[in-house]
Amino acid sequence: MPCGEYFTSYEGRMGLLRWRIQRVAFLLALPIPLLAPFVLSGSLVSTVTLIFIFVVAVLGLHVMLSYAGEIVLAQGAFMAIGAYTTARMVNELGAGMIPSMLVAGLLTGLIAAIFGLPAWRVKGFYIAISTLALQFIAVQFFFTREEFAPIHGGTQQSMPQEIGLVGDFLAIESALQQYFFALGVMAVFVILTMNLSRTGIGRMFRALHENDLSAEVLGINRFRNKLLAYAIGGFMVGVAGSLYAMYIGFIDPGFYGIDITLLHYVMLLLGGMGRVWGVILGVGSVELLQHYLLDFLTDTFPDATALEPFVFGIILIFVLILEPKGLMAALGQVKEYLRKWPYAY
Amino acid sequence: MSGPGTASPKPAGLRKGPATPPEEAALGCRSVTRTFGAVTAVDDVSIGIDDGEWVSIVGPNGAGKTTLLNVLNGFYDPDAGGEIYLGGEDVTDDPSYKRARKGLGRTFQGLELFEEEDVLENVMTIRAVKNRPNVLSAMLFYGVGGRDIEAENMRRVEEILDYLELWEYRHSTIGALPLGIQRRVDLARSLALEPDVLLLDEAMSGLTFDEKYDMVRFLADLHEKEGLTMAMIEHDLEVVTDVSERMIVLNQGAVIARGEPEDVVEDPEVQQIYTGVD
Repeated sequence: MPCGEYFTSYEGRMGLLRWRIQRVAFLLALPIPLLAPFVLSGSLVSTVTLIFIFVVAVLGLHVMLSYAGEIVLAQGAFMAIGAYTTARMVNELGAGMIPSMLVAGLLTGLIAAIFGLPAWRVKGFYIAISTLALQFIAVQFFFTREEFAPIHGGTQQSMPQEIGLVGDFLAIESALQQYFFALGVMAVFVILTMNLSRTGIGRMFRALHENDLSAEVLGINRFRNKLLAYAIGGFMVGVAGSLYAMYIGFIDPGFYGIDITLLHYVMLLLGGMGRVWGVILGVGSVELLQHYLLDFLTDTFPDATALEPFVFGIILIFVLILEPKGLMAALGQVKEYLRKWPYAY
Repeated sequence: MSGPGTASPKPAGLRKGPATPPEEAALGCRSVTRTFGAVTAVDDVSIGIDDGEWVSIVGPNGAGKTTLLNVLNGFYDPDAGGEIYLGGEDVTDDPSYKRARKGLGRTFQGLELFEEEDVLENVMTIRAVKNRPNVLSAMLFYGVGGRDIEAENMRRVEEILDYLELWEYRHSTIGALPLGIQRRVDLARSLALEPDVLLLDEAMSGLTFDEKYDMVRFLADLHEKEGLTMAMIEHDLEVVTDVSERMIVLNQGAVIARGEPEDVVEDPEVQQIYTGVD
């Protein structure tokens, strides 16, 4: 950190942008996402919008896994619950995106907490099975059956072309408006997650992750905090599901399979667990890599676009062998090198 | 401490029950038994630790000391019929986290620190238990009290770290610290709860002479200046007799002697279990 800059208050030490260089970098970077959609191609704007949505979803996973140490295998189910709830709220009640998102988040958070109840007795892979059960029950049983249409509204549903923010007020109709709406929601959840991390609740989650027995003996209610982590994480993933429904404009159970859960794990691990910036970096890297890789294969080997998952997998393995702690750790090493430069110590 | 061969006749009262009834003690238990299958780790133990008292619990390996501590703080439940009292309140049915919030702190023989975090975060984590925000104020941070609570927590934690001379290690991760410093962090973490009673499970185990000296200095200060009630498991009888006001000796899960250290160490049965010589 820069020499000669000192904190004179505890509040200053807890700031999100503590150092002058961070504040300058933030101000310089701020216009980039605001101006990007006016410069980038339509397909890239669409990819970046998806990045914003998946950042919210992976932040939910980050709270449950990186903070509370709970392996959750129901990202697809959580997103599906958020998406179907939003579709019903928007199509049948005309509620608009913001109320629909909130209800979708609350319902998903509640269901996530219910499926986290086995945390009372078990942990680790055993509780992961409980969330995997939710994935199968929700996506492969509940949302695929028309018999449950009175509850979920139909296995396949279309979203309206125009969705108001609240009711019909301020309609989101273009890709550009979707971009800015998703950016705003992502920014809110990034700040909320950073706040969670630097306060007592986040610390208690991490303590339970690291040593749940000593944490409980020293006053942390293990069961309550595990359920809280599920509820907060589930809320975030549900909101992401809501945004995803708006983005795709159509919902189908096939969008929410176990593969989306695995993709979110790849994003989290590639970025580096434990840091919000790692989530952003991981999601951004994976989505942009997929985007450009597909473009490259389409242009260079038009008959071999099916190789995209294969090449993508090879690149991921290569990156994780080079830096098992993810891209944030690699960036940390670069930062440390530059800090000491031109000396090696 | 007296040398070998100076054993005097057994002082009266060493086999009596607790001087203070558990209900009136800062921390006490009555008729506590804890069995694991066919093994009785704690056998019908009743103790009462007075407010502001420093008691040492000693005994050979496997005597049931740590199990007794674990029962007192709720990590284990006592077998049917046992009762635990904290500040006069029956806490037998309270889980361990509730007992901690009611003022029962402890350190661990195996440290059990949060290894991935630095010293400051370790202590801040447990401080959050004392003065914790709700979810909404935590996530909003500004304007609903989250920030003020965190600043106040940090101020108090810095005081504790200063007191235990840990300031230079604030941002060191636990794994990078020597054992003596880790034991101090363990103590700092339990002090962040501002406990009324502190249980110390071999807080000086594995320490060098200088590190033990420092630890005793901190504990003696806490006891004398803050009036902290302490129950300490310790193998070093020299430390025990120097610092504690009362001593409880366990053997095979049962209390075999209790009283002032000078009297207890003279007890032939205590000497026999420590030296193996009749």
